[in-house]
Amino acid sequence: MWNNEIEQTMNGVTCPCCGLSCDDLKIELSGGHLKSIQNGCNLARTFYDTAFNHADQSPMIDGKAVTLEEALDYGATLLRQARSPLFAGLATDVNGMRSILALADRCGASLDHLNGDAMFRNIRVVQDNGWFTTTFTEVRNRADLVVLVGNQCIDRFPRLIERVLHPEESLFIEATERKLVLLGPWRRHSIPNELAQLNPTVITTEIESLSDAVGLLRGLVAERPVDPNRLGDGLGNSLTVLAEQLKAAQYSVISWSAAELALPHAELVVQSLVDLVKELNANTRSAALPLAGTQADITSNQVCTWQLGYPLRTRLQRGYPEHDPLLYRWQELITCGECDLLLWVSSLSPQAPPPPTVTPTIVLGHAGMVFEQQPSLYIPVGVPGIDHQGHWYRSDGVCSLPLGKLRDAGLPPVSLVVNQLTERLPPSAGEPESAPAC
Amino acid sequence: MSALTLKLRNSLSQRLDMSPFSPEHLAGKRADEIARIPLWLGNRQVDTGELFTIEGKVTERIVIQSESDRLDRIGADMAGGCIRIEGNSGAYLGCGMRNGTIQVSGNVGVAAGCAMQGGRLEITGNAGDFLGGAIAGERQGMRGGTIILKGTAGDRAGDLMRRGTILIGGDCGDYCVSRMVAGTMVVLGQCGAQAGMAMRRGTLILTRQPASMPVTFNDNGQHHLHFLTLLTRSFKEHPPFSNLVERSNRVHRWLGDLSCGGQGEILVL
Amino acid sequence: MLIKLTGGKVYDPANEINGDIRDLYIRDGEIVAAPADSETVQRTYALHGKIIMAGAIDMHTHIGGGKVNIARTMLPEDQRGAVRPKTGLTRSGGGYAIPSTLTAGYRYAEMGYTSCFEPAVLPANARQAHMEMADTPMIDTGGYAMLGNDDLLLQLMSEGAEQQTLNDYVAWTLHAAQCIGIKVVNPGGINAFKFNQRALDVDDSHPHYRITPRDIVRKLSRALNELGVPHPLHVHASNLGVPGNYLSTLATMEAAEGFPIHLTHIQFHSYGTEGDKRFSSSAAEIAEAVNNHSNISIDVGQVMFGQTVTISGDTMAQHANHNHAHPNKWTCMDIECDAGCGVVPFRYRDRNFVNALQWAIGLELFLMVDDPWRIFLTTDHPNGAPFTCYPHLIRLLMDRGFRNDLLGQIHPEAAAASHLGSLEREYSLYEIAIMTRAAPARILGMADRGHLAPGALADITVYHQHDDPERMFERPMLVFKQGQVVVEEGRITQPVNGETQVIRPEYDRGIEKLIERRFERYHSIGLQNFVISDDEMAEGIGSQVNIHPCTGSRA
Repeated sequence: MWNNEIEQTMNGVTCPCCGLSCDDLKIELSGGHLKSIQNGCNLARTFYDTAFNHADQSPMIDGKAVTLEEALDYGATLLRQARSPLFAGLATDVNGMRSILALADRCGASLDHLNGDAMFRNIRVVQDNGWFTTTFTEVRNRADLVVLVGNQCIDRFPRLIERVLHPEESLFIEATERKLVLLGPWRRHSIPNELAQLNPTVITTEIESLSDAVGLLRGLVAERPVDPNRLGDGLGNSLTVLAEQLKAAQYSVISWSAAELALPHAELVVQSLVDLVKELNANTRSAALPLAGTQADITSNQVCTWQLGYPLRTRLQRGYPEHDPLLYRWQELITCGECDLLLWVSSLSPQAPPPPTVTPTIVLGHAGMVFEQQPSLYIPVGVPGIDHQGHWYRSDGVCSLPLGKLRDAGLPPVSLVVNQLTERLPPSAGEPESAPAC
Repeated sequence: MSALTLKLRNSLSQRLDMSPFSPEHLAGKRADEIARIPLWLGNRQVDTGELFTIEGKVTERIVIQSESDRLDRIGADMAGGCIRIEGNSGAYLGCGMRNGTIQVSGNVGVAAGCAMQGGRLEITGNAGDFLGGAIAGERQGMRGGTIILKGTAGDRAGDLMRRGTILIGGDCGDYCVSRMVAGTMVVLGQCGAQAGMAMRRGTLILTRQPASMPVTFNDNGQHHLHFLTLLTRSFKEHPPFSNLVERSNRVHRWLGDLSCGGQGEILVL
Repeated sequence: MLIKLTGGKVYDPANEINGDIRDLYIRDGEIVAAPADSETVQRTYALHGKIIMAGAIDMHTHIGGGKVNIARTMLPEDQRGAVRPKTGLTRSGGGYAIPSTLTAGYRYAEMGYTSCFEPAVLPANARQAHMEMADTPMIDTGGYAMLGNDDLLLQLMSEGAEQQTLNDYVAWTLHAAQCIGIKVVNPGGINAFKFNQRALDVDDSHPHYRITPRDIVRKLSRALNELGVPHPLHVHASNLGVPGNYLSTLATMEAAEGFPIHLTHIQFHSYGTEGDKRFSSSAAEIAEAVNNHSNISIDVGQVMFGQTVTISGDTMAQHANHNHAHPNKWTCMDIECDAGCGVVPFRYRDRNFVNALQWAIGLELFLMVDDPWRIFLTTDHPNGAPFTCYPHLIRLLMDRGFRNDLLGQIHPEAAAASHLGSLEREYSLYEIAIMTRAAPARILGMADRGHLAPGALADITVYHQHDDPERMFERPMLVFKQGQVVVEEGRITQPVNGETQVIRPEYDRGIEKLIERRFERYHSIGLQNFVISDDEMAEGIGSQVNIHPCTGSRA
């Protein structure tokens, strides 16, 4: 809801902690403290608790408290001088991102999200191949077979089971008829209770071996002459059974969180999963459910894509967007010293500070943020969904939800701070040299 | 007359797009005109002359002297002539080149020869990932020409390769010829893990068993392949690949990747 | 400020002005009657020899929403091929077939367009559609909400719900999604595809709900009529792209049972199965049916040769077409028990028989449908071609010699299979003004635009007169947006932002209980977060709403 009242108890609050974007939380406000009293998972409880810390934090230049005006003036000076600014982090809401893109266009900045590595495991597959996906409500009501790849989905998306995989009611299938397969580095005792209760089939494979397991599954589904025993009897047999189940399912869903696939070139594994889904759709129905959204990664990427035409890892140095998933990775730009100013935007969590670097750094950060090394400039900003209204994307990239304002601690939204920085810059110099003819 | 020579004056703080310096772009330009070609360094433009000393005249043969790994897109889309790099190159060397020759005495960055359509790329040092690969979003990587690399290649060499030849004298990283559609790649050194992943067609020729290949490659046994003799004979003028012909009488063939089309082959000599 | 445009030739079909030389006056963003002599004109534009029309309106163009952004993500090559650098006034961007939002807005304005409508707003994705359109500067926007594949409507229908209940649900959807019309895409077919059904013709029974596309079209067209929504049901008919589908299209026309319906991108629905290749033009049959049914309006969805991308809510058809993807990559998505989408890049080739005939079929339709008030100029951007092809398309309609020259260049068998060469009609400027201004405004119920009478918004486009209509329409001399000059000689001189056009039929709020309960039980988002409020539009999404009156049923 956009226009909620700030009250002692607030219902139907939307939580921007993970890509599930649960919007049924009950939050209590007392003495400035926020507390999740209903439907909040462990991530949400921490999120609302820590929002209280340091809400009176003032801006700082090199660790020394200054006024917001001084901070903005200094920030504008740094931006004006920068020849190769990098805007990264980008954990903010839609309007925060809109303002950042306008400033980036003005300054000729490069853009990447702090979850860029995880995001691009999926985006590169969409760029090269496309995919076939579905959304939460479809899965709730339609899926008769769900394959969860990896083993961290419950840690990362704590209410996945009640909200998506095993709701109380479904339109087209009894919850008891739904088969669940866990494909990942599971150890028997490590399966969370709520998952174990669903009586899943567990197929144990290390993340590093996923490409083999998924490749074999694709070969089996396509009935090509693959040898399942190459992966050992147990795993081979399990995958043979799974291939038959996938073919027999009315609506199978294959789900993963790209953040878990933390190995080089994991986009090849994602492409394999996506191709499996596409191949299944030749005869039956199947869809992928990539899980993401944490730290507003989907949010900032969506806005970037519609305003610039490209996803993140895009730079505006030459006066027009240029995209390169290999070259404009934020970690690389910082370690190689290719950027001369870092603007780090991280409004959702105190746990996502900028990396320690010799590069001058402006932080628009959560008020509770603790720094290993004091940035050149720190402007504490409000948390979307707590200090100000905003919009936020769910994992599936389809539903964006309004975030409410739950208190008034005087912390400004990212969009306000960034717009004030932009206003302090000289107007764009006329047209740059014409772009190369492509 | 001497080759047009661009020598980098100082080390660079940012990456530099060198695509304006191909023989066809510079044809007919005098050194002072070349010195005024604007280049983007970060968010500002500078004249070429500020960054490079410029000597020589012959624009069909260009020499670039630089130890920097930030000179990107050298020879991109070039249609003829020769570029010699004395030193190193950055990313996307010879990207999309159609004809001509690029020679590098040192190392090259990521995506050298990517989307290459023709011509020849000769690299004495090492190459980064995605040698002969594809531009993000394009369905085809290298689609013609020859890349000869004396040193080692990074990961994903020949990714989405469609046609042409890549010869690698040293080792090569993981996932080589990933998603290959067709074409030929030879590796003399050790090949990394998961060679041939998602390969649809095409040929990967190795002299040693790779660290691993996907389980969806099937052992096709020992073979005498006539085409291989013809193929390796064509490398005769390219040491260290010239003696391959002697080893190509019997090969061990693996077919895959059966996760997808499955008509690619990995041949171990 | 009082502004005077003097000496121009005015084409204002809504007021039956056909090239007469008239003076226009603008005050406070509106067109006003000639003022008293005592009033001072602050600014006069001498437009002798120039052509004046209302700002153009594109009533069917995919400019915002999830599927557009998927297309952008999937096609970085489309952006690389057409960059648009920033200027002192405008932001950077780019893209040819699927431009960035900012670039789309600039390009529309540079062609003299001042209002554009996104025809496929999934209610579940409406917020994004409006956010993207809010970031599309220069133009007013609006959307048509998709219904007819959502499980709630289909279930209500299968349970025999009263028409009144359906009407309430339709009206609620317009409010919740902040839209100006309702669209049905492949009625029931997107939904049936989720049950693994691969085709659903007009009288086929849905595999789960046991209702037919005919039922859906009838109920929805009636609902809009009874609610007094000016824009008739916007129908993307069954069997898109399938040879022989003209029969489905004719059946869809009948399904409305006399209620007004608008059949969109009808070119893709006018195919026969004659000839060796089992693919032929049925434009004549379709045009005849349109000419004989005054309750039917259409837009064409003209195909132009070149690379583009097809983006559609029709998951069933898009999945069936994925083998034609060029380049070979594609995306489909099932969405929220609401609808779906599919994105398939495509290249229309003039030397390909089918593509060439598609091109000819579109033009046949333009030339064989008599009433320009009931046929609209669209390429179904970007499905048939990017909207930037409009000036070229206008020339094809206005210049028979040019048209026949191009006909001579396409696949010869396609040219031979088409009536196009024998069609002599040439559109007049008056008719072009009808189909790009007056008629779209009228069919959407927007009395405030599409014409130049006092009281209208001063959205005005001034063209240089030119023998070549393509040159005339691609680069207007002046574009006024609400009285302000925003484009001069085809270049943006003043960036502005538009508003969102909506309609608000009355309904019984009791329906909200039913919907709320449904969301609680089966959905993954609360109803309170599904509905978009006016405040949210203005403060968060970034576009004010402009409410058009529900005027009762169309004549």
